[in-house]
Amino acid sequence: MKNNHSTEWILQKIFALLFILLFAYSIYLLSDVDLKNYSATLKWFGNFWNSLVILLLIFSLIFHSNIGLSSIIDDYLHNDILKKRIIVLKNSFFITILFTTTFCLVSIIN
Amino acid sequence: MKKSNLPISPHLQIYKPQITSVLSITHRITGFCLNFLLIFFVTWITCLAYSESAYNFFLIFISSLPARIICIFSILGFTFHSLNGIRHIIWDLGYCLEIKKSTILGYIILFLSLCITCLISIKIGLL
Repeated sequence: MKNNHSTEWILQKIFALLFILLFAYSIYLLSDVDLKNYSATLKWFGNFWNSLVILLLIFSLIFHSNIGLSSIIDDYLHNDILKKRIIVLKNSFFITILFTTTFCLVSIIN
Repeated sequence: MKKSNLPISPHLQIYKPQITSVLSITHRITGFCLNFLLIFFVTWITCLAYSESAYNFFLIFISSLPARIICIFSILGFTFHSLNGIRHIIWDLGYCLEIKKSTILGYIILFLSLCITCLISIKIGLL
């Protein structure tokens, strides 16, 4: 697929706004929870809708971050081999974060 | 000149630092560094899913002095990155593009970032 930078730019702004909204909503939801209390925190995350908000928050953050890091890589790395390796490393990092978060949240809900 | 020896964008070595350019570069640096917070978040959620003892161990770890210092700088980075992101959106909408206004806005963001970081750090007991 051809790289469309203007689409990426718009998507980055959309994901940033989505993240800010979800972040503010998560803080509002978590304000009543004592995060130092394991049972209370586990109970909060055990609620499907709460976990869904957190998962969407992480998804929006990762998509925003992925576009941002890609543009940094494009601007500062000019060695094609190194660039490819860094992109693979970046994608692996984000996939691991997404997979681990999803797996943990699903296991908490169940 | 070989391609590998060419100056790389945005030509930092020949660019006179100004508040707008410095904040723009800081926005990128904070954005990059904030990715490491994802590791912190995943560790937290993994400990929560794993067991109570793992969760308590994580709580002990983040209450240590180095972790608290990292937390304060993370809050500062996050606050700055968010506010500067809003500033970029204001620019994208065509407002505050004049040199004087964008410079003032830059200083306001720096000031607000520090104030919000102090408030959050006090609120959650980091300071």
